[in-house]
Amino acid sequence: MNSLVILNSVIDEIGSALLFFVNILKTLMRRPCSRDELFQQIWKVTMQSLVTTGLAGFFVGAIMAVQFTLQMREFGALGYLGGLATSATVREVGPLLIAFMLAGKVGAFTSAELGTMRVTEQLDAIRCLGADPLQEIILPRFLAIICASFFLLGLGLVMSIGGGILLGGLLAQVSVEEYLRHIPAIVTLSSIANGLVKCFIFAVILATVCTYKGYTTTGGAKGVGLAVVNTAVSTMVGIVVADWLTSFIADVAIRAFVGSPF
Amino acid sequence: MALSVLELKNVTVRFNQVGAKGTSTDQEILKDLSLTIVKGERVAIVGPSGLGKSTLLKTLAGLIRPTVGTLWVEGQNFYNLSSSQQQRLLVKMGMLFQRNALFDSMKNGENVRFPLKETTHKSAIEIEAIVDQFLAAVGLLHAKDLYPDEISGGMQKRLGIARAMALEPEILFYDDPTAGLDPITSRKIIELMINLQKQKQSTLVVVTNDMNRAFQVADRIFFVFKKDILSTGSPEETRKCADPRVQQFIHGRPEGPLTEVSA
Repeated sequence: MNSLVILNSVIDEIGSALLFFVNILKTLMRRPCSRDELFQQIWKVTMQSLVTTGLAGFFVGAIMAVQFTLQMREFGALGYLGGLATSATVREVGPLLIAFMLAGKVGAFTSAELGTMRVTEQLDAIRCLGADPLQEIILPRFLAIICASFFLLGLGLVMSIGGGILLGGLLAQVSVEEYLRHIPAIVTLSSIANGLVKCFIFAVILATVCTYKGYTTTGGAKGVGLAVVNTAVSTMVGIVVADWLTSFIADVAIRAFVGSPF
Repeated sequence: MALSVLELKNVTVRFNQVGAKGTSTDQEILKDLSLTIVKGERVAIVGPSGLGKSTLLKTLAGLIRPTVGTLWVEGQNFYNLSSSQQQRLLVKMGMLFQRNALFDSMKNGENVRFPLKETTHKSAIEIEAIVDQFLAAVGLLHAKDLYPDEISGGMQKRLGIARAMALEPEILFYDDPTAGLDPITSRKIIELMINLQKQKQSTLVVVTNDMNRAFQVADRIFFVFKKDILSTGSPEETRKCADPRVQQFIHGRPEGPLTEVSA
C-alpha cells in the first residue's frame, strides 16, 4: 500500500512538472522575457559555475587520458589517445559532467532562491502587482540555465583537452601535436551533435525541475530545504535516465541513418 | 445602490495536506461563505488566529482559487476571465502582505519601481518621480537606496504600503498591517492608510487581530469564525453586538465560546 502511495505521488510529481514545463513554453510563446534580465541571469549562472566546471573539465580530461593510456599502450595505439579521449568527453562525459555540476550549484541555488521567494510571498506579491511570476522570474532563469549549459560545455571541453594533453604528455609521452592530430578525424559531427543534444536535454530537465520545485515550495525554511534536496535527487535521477534514453535513441538513429557511431 | 467591487459567492476553500506517511487529507478553511464589498468602503476582517482571515483575504485578491464558489471583481467572474483579463484586474488591486513580501534582492526604490516598470508604459523619468512621490508619502525617501533588510520593521511596512499604492490601485488589501509594531507606529500606519485611501477614493480591505486598529480603520467589520463569517456592521454596532464570540474577542477574555475553537 505504502509503495503504491509513493508511486502515485512520483507519477503525480512528474505530471505536475511536465504541466509546469508546458506553462513555461506557453509563457515564452506569449511574450518573451526581458532581454536585460535574461543576460543578467545567463551571466550569473555562468559565473557561478565557471571555476568548478573548468576544474572538473580539466580533471575529467586528465582521467580519460590516464584510462585510455592504460588500454591503448597494450595495442601500441597511443597516437589515437587525444581523439578517443576527446570523443568520449564530447559524446558522453562532458554533457553529463556539466549537468551534474549545474545541478549541484545552479539547480540547488535556483530552487532555494525561488522557494524562499514563494514562502516569503514574494511570488504572490509579483502577481498582485499585475505582473506574471512565470514571465518575470521563472522564464529568465529557465532560459539562462539552458544557454549557460552550452557555454559551460564549451569551456569544460576545452579544459578537458588541456587536462588530457598534460596527462598524455606526462604518462604516455604523447606530444601536443600528436594528441590533437586525430581529434578532427575521430570527433565527428555526429559526436558533436550527440553531445549538444544531450547537453540541451539535461539542461531542460535541470531547468524544469529546479524552477518547478522552487515555485511549488510550501512550508517555510523546512520546505525550502526539502525543495533543494528534492531538486538534487530528481535532477540526478532524471539526467541519468535521460542519458540512457538519449544514448539508446541516438545509437539506433545513427545506425539507421549514418552507419557507425564514430 | 452602491457598486459592488468584490463579491464572494458560496465560497469553500480546502487545502490538500500531505501527512507524514504520504497520505493526503483535505483541510477545509472556509465553508460556503458569501461576502460583498462595495466601492470606496473600508472593511476590516477580524477574528482568532489560524481560522482563515488571510486565506479569505487572498481569496478576495485572486491569489487563492476557491475549491467551490465564485469570486466576482467589478461584476466579472474572475476565474472565467482569460489570464490577460485577470492581469488587467489585478493591476487595479494592491496588497500589503503579512510579512511584507518585499523583494529582498532589490533596493527600496526598486521595490516601488517594479510594478510601474512592469505594468505601465511610463518613461523612466515619470516612473522615478512617482517612486519619489510614494516614498516621500510614507516618509522613506531617505532610505531609497537601502535594501529592505537594512530598515526597521515599521519602515518595511511603510515600504510595503508604498509599493502596494504605486499603481494607485482601486482596491487595497492589507494583511495584518500593524503586526509586531508598537501602538504609536501602528496608529501612524493606519492613519497613513486612511489618508491615502481618502485621497484616491479606493476600497480598503484590512485583516487585523487588533480591535483598536479595526475600529480606527473600518466602516464595516467582519468576524471570521470557524470556516464562516459574521458581519457585525460599523465599529459602533460591533461594540454593541450581542454575539458572545464577538464580545469575547473584543474584550480579549480568556474564557468563552471562542477559546474552544482557537485552542
